[in-house]
Amino acid sequence: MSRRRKKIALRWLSTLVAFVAVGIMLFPIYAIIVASFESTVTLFSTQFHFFPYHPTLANYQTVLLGSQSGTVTSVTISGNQLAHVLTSFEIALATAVLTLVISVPAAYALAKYRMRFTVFFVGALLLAQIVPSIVLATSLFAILLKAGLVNTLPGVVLADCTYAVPFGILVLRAFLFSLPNEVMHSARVDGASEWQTFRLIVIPLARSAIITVAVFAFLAGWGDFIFALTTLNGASFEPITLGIYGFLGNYLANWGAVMAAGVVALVPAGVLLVIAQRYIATGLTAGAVKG
Amino acid sequence: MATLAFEKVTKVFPNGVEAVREFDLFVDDGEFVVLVGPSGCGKTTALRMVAGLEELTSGTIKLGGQVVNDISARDRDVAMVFQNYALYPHLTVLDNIAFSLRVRGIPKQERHLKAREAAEVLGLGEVVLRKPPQLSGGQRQRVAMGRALVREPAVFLMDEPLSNLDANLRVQMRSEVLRVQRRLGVAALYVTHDQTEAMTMGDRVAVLRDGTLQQLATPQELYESPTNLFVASFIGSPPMNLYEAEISGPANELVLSLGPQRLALSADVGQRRPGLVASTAREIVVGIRPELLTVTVGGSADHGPTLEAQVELVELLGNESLVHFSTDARMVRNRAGVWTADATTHGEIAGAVATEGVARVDPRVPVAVGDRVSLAVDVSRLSFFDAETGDAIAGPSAATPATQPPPRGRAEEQGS
Repeated sequence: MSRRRKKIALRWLSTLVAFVAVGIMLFPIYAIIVASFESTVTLFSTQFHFFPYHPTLANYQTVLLGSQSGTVTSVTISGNQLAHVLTSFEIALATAVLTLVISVPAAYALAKYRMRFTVFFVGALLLAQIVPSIVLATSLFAILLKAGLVNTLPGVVLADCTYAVPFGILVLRAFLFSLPNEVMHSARVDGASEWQTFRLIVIPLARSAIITVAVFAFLAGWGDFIFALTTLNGASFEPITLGIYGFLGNYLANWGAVMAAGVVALVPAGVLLVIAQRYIATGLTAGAVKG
Repeated sequence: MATLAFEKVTKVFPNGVEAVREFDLFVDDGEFVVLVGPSGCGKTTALRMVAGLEELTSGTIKLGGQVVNDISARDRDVAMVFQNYALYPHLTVLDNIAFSLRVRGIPKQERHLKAREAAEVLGLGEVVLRKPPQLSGGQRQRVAMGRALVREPAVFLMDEPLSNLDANLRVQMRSEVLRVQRRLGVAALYVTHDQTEAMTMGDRVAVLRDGTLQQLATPQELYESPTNLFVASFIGSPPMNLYEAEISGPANELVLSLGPQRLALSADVGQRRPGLVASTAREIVVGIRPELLTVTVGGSADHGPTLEAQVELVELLGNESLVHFSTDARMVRNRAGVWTADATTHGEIAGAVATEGVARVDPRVPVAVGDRVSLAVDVSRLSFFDAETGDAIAGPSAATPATQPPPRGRAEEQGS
């Protein structure tokens, strides 16, 4: 009886710990949402309010309509953020597509073909993950400048892919390892070419992993700031991350607008995650072979 | 439809393991040949080389007389059933069966028609729209065979296709596999480690050990005249009783000494095996199948040569009894030596119960543990082996050479 009680207590305790952990992780987001409804004056008070103290939509007006209202004169060069959201979406989508086009075949080759340099190559991919973006950004700028890709959309997308592609390859490779070789052998014996095997068998079976990588690549493009800042140097377009940055001046900052723009930037990413979550970490291989 | 031939095929893996060595085998059109041997004997590697999933180190493999060494798996026109089925989990039964037609560009309607036909033959008509995860083990097995059935391949390869099924289903599927093969009417190569499966299914059976072909013969021949101790101990359940023995006496009055016991051999035994006479005063191994021993009651009548033994265990199986006994003859066991054999292949009986022999007897003969009995020996059907080399001593003429077409046996009965 006491053991049973202990078990129940343990379960409650672990649930509690999980709640606290999630609370800590989500609290900044909550704070951003609350702050986005505050006037900048309230934000500068030392008191933190769990609910908007003087609820106002002025920040959203600034962000969505570009109107200059509010108690502090906006120092921003960027008004309407919707165009920036659209740019972010383009960058993110292109990053996701390019990442898949490169990483799915690469991961398959690295997982299923015995090649001399596989170990070396995978090590290099891991290394690429270790190098901080800010270190890469300078050299990448030099490369993009030579290639004439500075201040272009493909330039930012390529820069974002330096992070998303290695990540995608590593994740997909790990997943493809778990695909039984017999299924591919079977396809080959059935008369399928390498390409048919890849297209008709491997891709459908790796669907959940592919979607996972696509989502993460999308989010990498969506949330990127460093590469956008360095490669877009006075371009006619900029993503939402740079848009938010625009509310921060040298002497003045419209923090309320920053928060509202943050919320606006959060929404599409959040929606995407909710839609994709049922694919993320869903195995599809069950039943291929006797388990 | 085609013949399949291995000619001096050798496979050495990059890590230096020699999986198959100088392997010769001929499978005729319509013939069902089983490759059997303990795990790691190279049988699966041999099969995969036919499929094109494994490259040859040397030698040639011919399909329909044409060397296929350098032809890729997809162009060899072979069908293969994998041990774990290897179904495509994201496709329905119908699409699984029709996959090979799909990659050949056959229109959907036509290939589905053919796949449905194959599914009906295999009793899968009800589940054609299900996906593999929703099928039972037996159904998955049938789908795997359906993929071969829909294609009319040149050869049909199977790699332990029944090993994942439970015992009842396995027996049932044996005949199903044979039915599919007869229907295809093509050369079939079937790999198994189960000697019962090999004996019941094969037109001919090839016994492999350490990558080397030991014997290729019909099941009956394999059972009655094994070429060496390995085959003798591997084929048959319960396994053959093997004893150290010595031959003495003139050619027409040979006497076999099993420890202190003597068995007089009839004159024809020596006549049929001239090598036996040459082996007098040398150590040999005598093999006695369990059914060659009969428990004699009372000892009144003349039963011919007998072996004195003590009953250690009686297994009643209904239609027969397995009497485990001990004698003062020295049993030759499967331990590391000149003829090392996989201990597990017959360790079940010899290992678990420390007796020295098994007799397969009529269950109505009353025997009890502890009884001292006389076992009459049918000396005309004994097997003899050289103790040093493990080879059979001048047995009946050697089995058909591997590269020759086999005697047409069951393969001819298939008719259509």
